[in-house]
Amino acid sequence: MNDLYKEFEREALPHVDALYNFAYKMTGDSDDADDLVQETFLKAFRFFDKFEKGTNCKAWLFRIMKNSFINDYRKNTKQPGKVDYDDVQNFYENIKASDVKTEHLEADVYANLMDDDVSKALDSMPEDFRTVIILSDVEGFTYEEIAEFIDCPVGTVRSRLHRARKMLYTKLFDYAKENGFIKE
Amino acid sequence: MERRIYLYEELTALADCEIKDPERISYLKEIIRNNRDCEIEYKIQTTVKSVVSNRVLRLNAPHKLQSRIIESTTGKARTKTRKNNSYINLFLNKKTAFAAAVFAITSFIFILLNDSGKTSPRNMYKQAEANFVSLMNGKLKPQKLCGTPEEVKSFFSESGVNYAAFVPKMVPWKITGAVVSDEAGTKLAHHIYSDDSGHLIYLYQVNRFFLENNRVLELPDEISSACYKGDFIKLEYKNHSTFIFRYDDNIITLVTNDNPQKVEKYFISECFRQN
Repeated sequence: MNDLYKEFEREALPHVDALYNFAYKMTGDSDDADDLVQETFLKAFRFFDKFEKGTNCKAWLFRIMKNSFINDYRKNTKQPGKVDYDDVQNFYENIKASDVKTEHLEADVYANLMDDDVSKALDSMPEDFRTVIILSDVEGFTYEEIAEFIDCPVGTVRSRLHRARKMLYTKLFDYAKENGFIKE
Repeated sequence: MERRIYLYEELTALADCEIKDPERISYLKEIIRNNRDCEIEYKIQTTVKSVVSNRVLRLNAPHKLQSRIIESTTGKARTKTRKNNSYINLFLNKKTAFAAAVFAITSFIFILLNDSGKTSPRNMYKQAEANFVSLMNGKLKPQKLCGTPEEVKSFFSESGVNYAAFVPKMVPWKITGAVVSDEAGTKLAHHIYSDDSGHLIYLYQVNRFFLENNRVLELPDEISSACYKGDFIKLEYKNHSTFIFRYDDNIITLVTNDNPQKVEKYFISECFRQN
């Protein structure tokens, strides 16, 4: 085994779970996620000599996967996800400070929700919004890294994340209310 | 309005530790303290961030994928995940027509599964069958005697089962009790029905995420993919029968010493009807 492979194994392979997790959430299918991740690692290995040492390898792998997702997977399966910004604006407008009780804004209130309720709520979000939440809150990427991933300015990441979390809040709130964890 | 939205977005950036200027941080914190709208905006961001980072289910890459990556990057032949449908599928039961030719089908699968020769202790349906035998021998007793679906669900919830269990009413069987087991820290739901003749129906159900990539339990690929497609598997033995199927997001293994045709006709078909 040559040095390049050893380095690839050390730098890139530890991120396989994060890539698979993200691929699964984007495709919703374990076989497609498998193929997407395998394709990503093959491309990453092919171009590993171009990877700038000391930079964020996980972010680099995610960018490769995004290109594979857009170029190969989505082209073959479905149209790009579209977001109805009017809907989002409505969600955004629906939340007024006067309607929200601060006791509803503690993570403890949502502790009784099932983990799969939280995952389902996230899965039901439009793709653009789901993506920024996963990249930020599940994978821990910075705004700059997310901006590179989604090809948008940092300001757009901030704005999208802000709206996405508000949209997700309304879904989690509804789940919690339906299940009797929140009483108005 | 625009200025206000910009301010709210800055609060989002604060929640994400993306504001680096100490003066700006102090200014925003001051606003949060003194303005209820800003306080609410900031708390929505921190609450959702916390819930997502702690509660969203994370999957690990399957071992076979990791092996394939290593093989392919070290120059060995590359393989695609998606297999041609195996011939097993031809014999699986579609929920729309599950009365047909079940015994021949299940005998075939039974042979095939046994031919694999190795059964992991984490194999879900093997665990279910072993539990059923223990129930019959009196070695396993319900932790909680329950008579209604609500009691069972409440017991599951209080005992830390973190997914919605399917607990239907099923005449002529009556709910008799429930057990919560612990598999590597994950609480799993089991419940039992009985009839007046002493027949038992035992259900062991887990959220499908726990089976993805063998996170908590394992199930042979042929069985899990059949369940995801809406088929069910039936295995007949001398003293009991096992059914494996999907209900919503759960994979359920049912083991019974009752007449398998009766269970299939009344219990399984009702589960599919409600799904």
